[in-house]
Amino acid sequence: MSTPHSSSNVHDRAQQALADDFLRKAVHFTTDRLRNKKQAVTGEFGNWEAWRERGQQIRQHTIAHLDYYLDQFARHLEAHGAHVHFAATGEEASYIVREIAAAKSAKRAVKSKSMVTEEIHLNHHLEEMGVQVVETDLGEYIIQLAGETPSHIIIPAIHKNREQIRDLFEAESGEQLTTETRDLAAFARRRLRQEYLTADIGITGCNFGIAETGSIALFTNEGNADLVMNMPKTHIVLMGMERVLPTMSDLEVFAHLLPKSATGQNVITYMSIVTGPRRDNEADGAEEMHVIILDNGRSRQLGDPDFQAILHCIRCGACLNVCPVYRQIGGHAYGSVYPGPIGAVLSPLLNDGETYQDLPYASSLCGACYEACPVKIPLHDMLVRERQRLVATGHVKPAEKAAFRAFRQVFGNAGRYQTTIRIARRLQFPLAHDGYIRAKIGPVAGWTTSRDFPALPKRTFRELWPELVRKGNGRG
Amino acid sequence: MGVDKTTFLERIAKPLGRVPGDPPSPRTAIGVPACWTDRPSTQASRTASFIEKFTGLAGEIEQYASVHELRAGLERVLNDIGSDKIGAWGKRAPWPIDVEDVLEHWHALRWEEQTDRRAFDHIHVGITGCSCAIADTGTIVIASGPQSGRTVHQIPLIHVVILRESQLVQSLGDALQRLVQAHGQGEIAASNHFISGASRSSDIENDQTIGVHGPARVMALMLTDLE
Ligand code: SF4
Repeated sequence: MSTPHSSSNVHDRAQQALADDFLRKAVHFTTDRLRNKKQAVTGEFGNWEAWRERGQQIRQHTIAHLDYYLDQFARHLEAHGAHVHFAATGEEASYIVREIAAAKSAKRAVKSKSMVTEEIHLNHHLEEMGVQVVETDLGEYIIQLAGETPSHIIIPAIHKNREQIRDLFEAESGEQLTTETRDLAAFARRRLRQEYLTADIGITGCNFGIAETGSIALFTNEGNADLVMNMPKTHIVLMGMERVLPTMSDLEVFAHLLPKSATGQNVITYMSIVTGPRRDNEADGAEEMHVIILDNGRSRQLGDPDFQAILHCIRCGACLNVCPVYRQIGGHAYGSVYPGPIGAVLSPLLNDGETYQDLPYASSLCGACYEACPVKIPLHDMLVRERQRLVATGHVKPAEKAAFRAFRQVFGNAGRYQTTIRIARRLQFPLAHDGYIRAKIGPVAGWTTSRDFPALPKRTFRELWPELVRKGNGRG
Repeated sequence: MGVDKTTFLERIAKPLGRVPGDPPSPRTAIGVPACWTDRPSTQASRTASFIEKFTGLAGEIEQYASVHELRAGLERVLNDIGSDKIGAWGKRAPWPIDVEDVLEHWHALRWEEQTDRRAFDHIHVGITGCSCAIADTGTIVIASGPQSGRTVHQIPLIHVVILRESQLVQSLGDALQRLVQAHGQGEIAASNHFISGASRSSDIENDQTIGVHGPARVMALMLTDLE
């Protein structure tokens, strides 16, 4: 799969996104809509801060005792007849899925939306072994046909318009379709119904695992997850190890927090609570259920006072909708599975190496993400700490390092500062107009191609000061 | 491949400064905040809230004062829909109200332990009972069982659910507690489905559409069995 913006750094990808008018308008419109709906629904619901507080307390307690609750969860699941697997890495999780697929001689799999499966590139691994995977969430189906990745964790096809969607559906089916939403959705229903009926395996994520009963709670508005887990003979659940909650009472809190934060809905249309495979006397539901619990870099955050709270995240996407950066550049510019503020924090934490190290800089640190977060994760503080760590470990561009060294030298000595200002004032002459530098070239072009930079005034305050004093005295 | 559970849990416990298997510290906060549990709840307020929320999600509801009237109501509803492709839970399913006469009259395809799921592929209307319904959110809760297959309400375009007013609970938490009790008795259903309105999606240019995968129409026929 590709993203429409495949450049290697966030800056270049953002530039590409900024040049795409449809994308910017669509992202603005959708995020505004989600944000306004959330505001309305939480206002009507009342006591939102008390709910957020409660959400945070529950997540904090759960993660602080995660080994205990995961153990309880796994034991209960097994008692209900499910197979539980533990995977330390994405490769291990994919391997387990492939082994199950091979044992079932599976040819086709249907899937409901799951960010964890995106994280481990599961579709790719299955397709490599000849298993055809079909996404069933309407938005995911659209971007799968387009060969792209999701651009929003709740509304994956935010960047596609109806003409593009019609073209994709027509190319897939050879049918003639209109651009009416109803016709396009009806086509998807017809088409995907066949997929459910012929699939050997159904793959879902897990919104919450309930330790008390060994249940998986899955939330959808379309109802696709229910068909994915009930129609094929084998149901595979992939879940990040942090997805667990201690009790059903706790689930009630998150069944309010999640849909209200994600889409501004009072309640999710479908919540399925699955507790093991079908019973012996049942004629439908999956015969076999496998639950794969994935670490993949998560345990590295445990015990870290700066970052443990990132595991409290319930993947609602509210932080994307309020982020001034996400709202301008959309999801693909982040170049990671998780976009927006949560992605900017999480991706560099889950992945070693250089790939996502520029993401903590894709933020204005305004703190809107924290205000929106239903479990009060201080994402903006985490972004600052990630930047600090990057600097401390030497992950800084040579130019930036040189610039800061020069800054220190100039600002650390009054004489040097004055001389530098005098020289800079002369050098800026060809670029400065009306008190601003707006040049697309030159040493500050990185800033001035998209923003104005105030030019150095003819005289500095320090130079003006003796004169001001004289005038003041004269008047006195 | 994969790691064994003990190793996996040890890797989690260690950085948390815990010994695997140690009980958690006592919880200061469990479940919903006090503002939610302290609300007044009466049968009348539950009914009013359920109707408001259910219809707010485009659910259609009819109320009947007697079983006889409800059966006549179901007859009328099926007549209005005008399809003879009707499926329903089996005879021994936990129906809150006996509507066998109507189902027989319409030759409804019944769900049994041995049913071939594919027989329901072309059903237009699925008729079921429910285990409870939630006043706060307008939600219908359906537990799977040998005579109450999930297919019956998940596959067709129209879902008709039969319930009694006395099955209404106030909150999602009340409904979830029943699952905990069932679990304690070793009887939790493999699937508990919480349904709030019709299947919907806004994935095409934010334009909401219904019936993408699940039913496009959900109708509740409720017996007002309380004074
Ligand atoms: S960080 Fe908070 S707001 Fe963002 S997705 Fe996670 S829970 Fe939602």
